[in-house]
Amino acid sequence: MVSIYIVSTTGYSGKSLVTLGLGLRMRADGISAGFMKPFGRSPVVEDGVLMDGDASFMKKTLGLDDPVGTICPVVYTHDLYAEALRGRGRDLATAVMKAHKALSKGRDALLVGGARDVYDGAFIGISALRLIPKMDAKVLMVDPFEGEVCVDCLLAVKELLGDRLIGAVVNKVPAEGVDFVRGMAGPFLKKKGIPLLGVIPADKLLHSISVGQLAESLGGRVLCAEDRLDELVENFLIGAMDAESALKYFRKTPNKAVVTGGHRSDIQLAALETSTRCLVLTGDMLPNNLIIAKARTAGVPIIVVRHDTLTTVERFEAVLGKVRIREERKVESARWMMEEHFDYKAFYRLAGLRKP
Amino acid sequence: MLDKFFNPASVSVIGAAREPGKVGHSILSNMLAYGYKGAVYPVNPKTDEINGLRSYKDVLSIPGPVDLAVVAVPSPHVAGVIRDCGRKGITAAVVITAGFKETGPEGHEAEREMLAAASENCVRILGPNCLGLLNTAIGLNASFAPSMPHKGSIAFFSQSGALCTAILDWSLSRGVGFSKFVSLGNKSDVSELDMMAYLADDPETKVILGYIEGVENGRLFMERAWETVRKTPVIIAKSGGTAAGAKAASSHTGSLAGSERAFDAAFRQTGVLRASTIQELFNFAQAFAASPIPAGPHIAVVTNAGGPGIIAADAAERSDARMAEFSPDTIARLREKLPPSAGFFNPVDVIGDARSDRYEAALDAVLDDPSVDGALVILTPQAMTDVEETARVITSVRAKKGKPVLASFMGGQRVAAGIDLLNAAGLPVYPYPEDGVKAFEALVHYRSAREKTPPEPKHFDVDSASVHRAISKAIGSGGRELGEKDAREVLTAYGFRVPGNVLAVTSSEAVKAARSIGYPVVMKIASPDILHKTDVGGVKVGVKDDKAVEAAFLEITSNARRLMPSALVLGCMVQEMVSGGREVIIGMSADPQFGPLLMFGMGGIYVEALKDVTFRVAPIDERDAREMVEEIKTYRILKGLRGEKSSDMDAIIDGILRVSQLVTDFPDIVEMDINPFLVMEEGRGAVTVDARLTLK
Repeated sequence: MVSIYIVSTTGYSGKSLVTLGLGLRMRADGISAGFMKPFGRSPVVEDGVLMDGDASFMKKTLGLDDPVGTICPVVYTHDLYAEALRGRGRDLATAVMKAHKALSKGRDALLVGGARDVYDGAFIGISALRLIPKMDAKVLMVDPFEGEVCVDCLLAVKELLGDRLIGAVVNKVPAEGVDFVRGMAGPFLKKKGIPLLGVIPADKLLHSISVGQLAESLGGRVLCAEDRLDELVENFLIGAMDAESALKYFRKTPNKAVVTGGHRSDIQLAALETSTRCLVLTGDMLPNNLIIAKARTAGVPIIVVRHDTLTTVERFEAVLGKVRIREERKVESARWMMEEHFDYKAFYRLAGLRKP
Repeated sequence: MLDKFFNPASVSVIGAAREPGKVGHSILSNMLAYGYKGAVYPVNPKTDEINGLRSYKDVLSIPGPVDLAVVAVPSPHVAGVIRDCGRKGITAAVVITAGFKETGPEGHEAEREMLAAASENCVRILGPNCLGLLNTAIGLNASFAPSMPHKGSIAFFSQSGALCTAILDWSLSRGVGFSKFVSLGNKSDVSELDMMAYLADDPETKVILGYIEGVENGRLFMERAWETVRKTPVIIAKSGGTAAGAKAASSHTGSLAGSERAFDAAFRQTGVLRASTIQELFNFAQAFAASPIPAGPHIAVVTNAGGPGIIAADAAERSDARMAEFSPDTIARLREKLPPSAGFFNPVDVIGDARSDRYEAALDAVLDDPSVDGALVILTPQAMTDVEETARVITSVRAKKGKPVLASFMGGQRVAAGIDLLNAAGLPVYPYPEDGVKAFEALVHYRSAREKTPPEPKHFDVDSASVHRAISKAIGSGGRELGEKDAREVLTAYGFRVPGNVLAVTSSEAVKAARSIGYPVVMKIASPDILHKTDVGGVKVGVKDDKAVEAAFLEITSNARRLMPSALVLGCMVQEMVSGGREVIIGMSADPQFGPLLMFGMGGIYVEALKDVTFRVAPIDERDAREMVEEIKTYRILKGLRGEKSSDMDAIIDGILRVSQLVTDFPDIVEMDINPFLVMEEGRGAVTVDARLTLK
C-alpha cells in the first residue's frame, strides 16, 4: 500500500485535476486506489450532515464505497477555526490517521488530496507537512504556472520533504508554451531530483462556469433559452463600443458571456452573431422584444441583472477560474488532459506501483 | 412569378370592411377608385354586400378565379387565410396586417406560422405590416394609401410604409409619376431581391428606386443588383449608416445591419447608385426617368447669370462629371447668336437680359457639339427673363437632340410657372445648380457601371493544405486568434514573402541568430500571451550589432515581465530587417451580411490620421484591386513624389488578390490584417512584416 499525497503551494492549482486523472487511470489499470481528503475546505450541509463537497464528489466520481466522513475526517468550519484561535483547538492528527488506516485497508494505493497548501491545517495539527511522514506518503506536487514555473516552490518543498517528493506537475501552461516549458524546466528539475511528470496546458473548459451558476451568482433573471443553462462560459467581454468594433472584438473570444446594457440592441445582435453562451444585461433593463426572439431562436440565454456593469464584472471575476470540477464534461476533460500530458509510466515506477 | 402581384386579372380583399376609417374599407375603396378593370371580390363573413359588391364569407366561396389576395384580417387569422388562398389557387398575397415580427416573440411566431402556410401552399407573400402596392398602368391600388400617384416611369419600393405615404403625397404636388409603388413591410418573403428582378424587365419602368434599412443576404443582393443594373438603373437610399442610425435600425428591424463600408463597396461593385438623402433619391430619379444615358461625363452649362454658372462649374469639378470644352465651331456659333458681352466658353453666359431665343440658340449650339454629353440650363428671374417661354424652348430643343438636359430654375414665385411646365414635360428641374450637376453625375456613374464586365478573379497556385492544417490546429486548441507562427505559415502558403525569423531563448542565442541573419535585425518579444507587442515595448527595429542585440533582449524581456507579469515569455524573435519601401495595409473583416470585406490603405500614421482606406467585397479581380490602390488619397505618395521612385504597384495588387483568394477559400477567417505590408520600389516586390488572423 502506498499513499500518494498531492500537494501544492497555492489554492486553485489543479490538485483535483491531477487527483481525478490518477484515480480514473488507476481504476482503469486495475489498481485498487482509494481517496482521502484529510482537511476539507468545501463545507456543505446535506440532509443536516456536514460534509466536504470535494470529498463527496470524488467518492461519486471514483465509485468509492467508503463513508464521506471517513474520506474527509476533518471539514473546515467557522467554529473549528474560531475555537482554535480561542485556544480550544485540538490536535486532530490522530483522527486523520485513524481514517487513513481504515481507507488503506486492502488497497494498493491511497490518493491523498492536499488542502490549499502544505501548511494548511497546521492550527489543528494536520498540515500536509506533518501528515506526510506519519502516512509515509510519496508526494506529487502541482504548480500552477503563472508566467514561469515556480522552481523556488518546488525546490523549497524538496528541501522540506526530501525523497518523498517523487515528481512535479506544471499546470495551466499556455498551449503554445507546453513544449517550451518542458524543454526549459524539465532538465533543470531532473538535475535537482524532481522529475517533471506532466506539463498541462491551460484549459478554458476546466475553468469555465455554467450559465446557470453564473445567473445564480449574479442574482439575475433568465429571460429565455432556459434549456441552455448548463452551457459553459469560458470568458466574458464587455460591450460598450459601436456595433462594428464590437463584432471585431467579440469574434476573438469564443464561448463567452457578453455584458452590456439592456438598451444596446446593436451590441446584443453583434454578440448573437458570434460564439456567445449568454447575454448579461445590466441595470435591470429589459431588451427589445426582437432580441429576445432572436436569442431564443439562437439558444442563447439572456440574464438580466440589477447591478451596474462594474459590479457585474467584479462578480464575474470572483467566480471565473475558481470553480471546482463537478460537471461530467469537466471530469472527462480532466481525464483526457492527464492522459495527453502526464507520464503515467514514470509515475507508476516512482510510486512503486505496478499494473496487476 | 410576381406578375400576379402587379397585373392581377382579379383581386380579393380579405377583411374588406363596410365602415369608413377601417383599413379593410380603405383598401376596397382604393381598388374601386382608380379604374382597375379586373374583378374585385370583398371577403367578410359578417356581411353580404360592401360598397355595392357582393361579399363572400371566405375566398373559397368566390365563384371565379382570383389572382391576388389583399389580406387585412387580424394577425391570428392570417395563417388560416393564407391556407385558404392556397386552396383557392391564389399564388400572390399582400398582407397588410401588422402585429407580426415587429411586435416581439409572439408576433415572430405568428409570422413563422404564416410563412409556413404560405410555402406549403405555394403562396408568395408581400409584407406583412405593409402599406400595399400600386400599379399605375392598370389603375391597381391594392393599398390603404390615401391617394394614387400619377403614371410615370419610376418604380419605387420601400422598407418603410410611412415613407411611402409621405412620398406619394409629395409626388402629387410635384407631378412626379410612378410605374409601380411597393411597400415591403417586414419582408418576410418578397424582398428587394424579387423587386429588382421583376422591375428590371418591366417595360413601364425606366428607373428603380428603393429605400432599405438593411438586406437579409448581402451576397444574393449583390448578384441580383448586378443583373438588374445591366438592364435598368437602380438607385437606393439606405439608412442606418451612422452608429446612431445603426443602433436605431437594429432595434427597429432586429437584425444587425451590414457595415456602411460593406454597403458602399457592394453598391459600387454592382453599379447600384446610392442616394445619400431621400431628396437626392428623387432628384436622381427625375433625371433617369426623363433622360437618355449620356455617352460621357462632359456637361455644358447655359446660364443667364455669372454666379450660378460658377457654382455649377465648381460642382462639376468636385464631381465625376467634367465641364465640356467646346469645339471652335460651337464657339463661333455662340459668338454669332449671342451679344458680344456674353460668355462663349463653358459655362455659357447668355447675360441677364436674355429672353428665350438666346437660351434656345445657345442650348442648340452646345448640344450639337460632339464633345458635349449633356447640358444644365440655369435660369434666374431677372427683369427681362421670360420664364415660361424659356421653359418651352428648353423642352423643344431637348426633344431634338437625344442628350440629357437638366434645368435649374432658381427662385420662388417668379419661376414657379416655368417649373410647372418643365415638370409637366418631364424635364428634370432643380432649385439649385449643384443638384442638377449631381443628378447628371449620377447618369454618368450609371453609364460606366452598366458597361462594367463581370469580375474575373485570378486564381493563384497556393498550398491550401498547410492553411487547413494551421486553422484546424488553432480551432482544436480552442483559440480564435492565430499566433504569429501560424499566421506566417498561412501567409507563406499563399505566396506572401515573409522575412526569416529565429527564436532566441537567451541573449547569447539572440546574438548568434542576429549574426547568421545579418545586421541590422528586428527583435520582438516571443510570447503566446502577448499579441500586441508594441504595447508592452516588445519590438525593436534596426538593432545593429551584438551589443545592441544584448541590450534589446534585456529591455524587451524586462518590459514584458514588468507589464505583463503572468505572460509566458519564450524569449525574443530575431528577424531580418527589411529596409526601405513604404508601409501599406491589406486587411479583411467578414461582414455579417456581405461576407469578406477587403480593406486597403496607406500604413503607418496615415491609416490613423487620414482614415485613408478603401473597401471591396471579396472575391475581386485585378481591375477592382487596381481601383482600390488608385482611389486612396495617398496614391500619389505611392506613385512617388518629387523624383522618388514609384512603389511596386503590381506587388500591392498581387497582395490584395492573394488575400481575396485566401479569405474566399477559407470562410473560417473572419478578420485579417497584414500590417505593415512593406512595398519596395517598382519591380522589387513586397514583404509581409506582421500579420494577424482571427477565426470564426
